[in-house]
Amino acid sequence: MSEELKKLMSQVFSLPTASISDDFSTKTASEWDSLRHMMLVVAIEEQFNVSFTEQEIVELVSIKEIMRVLQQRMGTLAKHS
Amino acid sequence: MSDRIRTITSNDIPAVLRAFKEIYPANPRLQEIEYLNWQFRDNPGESRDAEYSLLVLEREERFVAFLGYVPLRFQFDDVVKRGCSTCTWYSNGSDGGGLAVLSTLMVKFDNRFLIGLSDISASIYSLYKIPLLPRLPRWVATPNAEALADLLKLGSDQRSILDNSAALLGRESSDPVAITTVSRFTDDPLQRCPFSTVQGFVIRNAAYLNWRYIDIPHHRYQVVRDPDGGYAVFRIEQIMGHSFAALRIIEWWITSRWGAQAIAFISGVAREARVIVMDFFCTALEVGEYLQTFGFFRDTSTSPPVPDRFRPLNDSGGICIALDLPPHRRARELNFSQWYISKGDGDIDRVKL
Repeated sequence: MSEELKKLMSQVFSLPTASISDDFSTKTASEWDSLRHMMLVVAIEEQFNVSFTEQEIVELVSIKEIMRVLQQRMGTLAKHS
Repeated sequence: MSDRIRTITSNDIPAVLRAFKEIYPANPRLQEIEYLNWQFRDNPGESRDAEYSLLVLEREERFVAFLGYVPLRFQFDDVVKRGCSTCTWYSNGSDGGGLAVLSTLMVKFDNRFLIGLSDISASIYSLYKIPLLPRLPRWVATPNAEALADLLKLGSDQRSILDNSAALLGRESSDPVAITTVSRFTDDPLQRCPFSTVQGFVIRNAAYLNWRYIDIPHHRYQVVRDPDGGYAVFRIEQIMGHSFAALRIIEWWITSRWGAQAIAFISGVAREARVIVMDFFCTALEVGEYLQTFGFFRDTSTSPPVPDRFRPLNDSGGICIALDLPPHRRARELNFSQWYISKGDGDIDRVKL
């Protein structure tokens, strides 16, 4: 799932997949503005067939946090990747 | 690095004004304490829970994101609910500050009126699946077809639209004895909606209207009322670089039986002020179609369209609005024409110069 998420993020942020590190976050990536954030949220929702609440959306500020929320949300997600 | 989202207090005003001066250099109003107090402290919002209705994201003793709001009550299908309209949404770029303050507002208010969106804001709201109306409908009329045609350099094939408008406006010349001007609302105006197809609208009581149109610094709106409690609000704006003026109707909450008299009154004011163009923005098509009987026409009827900015004269490309009501984050259609949303619902009718 981690690699799939990184690939998705590389598309949204127009960056090479290799540059999406495990520490990739709003603090480290200047590309991660509000618009790209929402594009990422929608891309994740479509890719992983999940839906985030307005409150969750604003908490998805790092690849670690996104992974945590995704794993929490769907125990079956592992099968997806 | 710790972030803190909060509403501002009077102690923050100097810092906020400094920030606004840097962020909005072309907008002197937002750099003035009178305007700031009017917009965020003095609004008569129901159940306001803060000294100022301006959220900030504070980071290392700096404000890196803002979102202002005006609490309001609105009615849809005879049910009254709480909501807010937003204004002055800004973040300094990355790091999710803009969305963080937006999220805080979303927790506070389940119903949000979003008026005058930038392209980026519209894109973000669209990704939230919030119904958008890319161009708030606008109707235009002219009491002086020749001057407006010359100003817009319209060809003869386009002039007939303006000639027709001027003729219809001029027809309403009966003495408007029933229409009165007021300097202030001393009682609540008509609270029921005078338009049969409109189901939703922000409730405008005397306190709201006095705040929005009478007590606002640096603006001079004129208010007329009809005998049934209806009202219209307008202001006159000089066209930069010309001796002519524009008359902006901001609210049209006039009952149908007094419409002709109200138009006659406003047209009289327009002629005295050398107005060559009048306009009105509203989601409710019924209201615009009613005004068409008095000579108004859709601004897209001419080519080029009649510009919507007069200081200086240019076209903004339209006003984008959004209405964010539950259920949130679900794609849905919204019939905006069932709503009465005017330019007065947001902070976009703001004289900058």
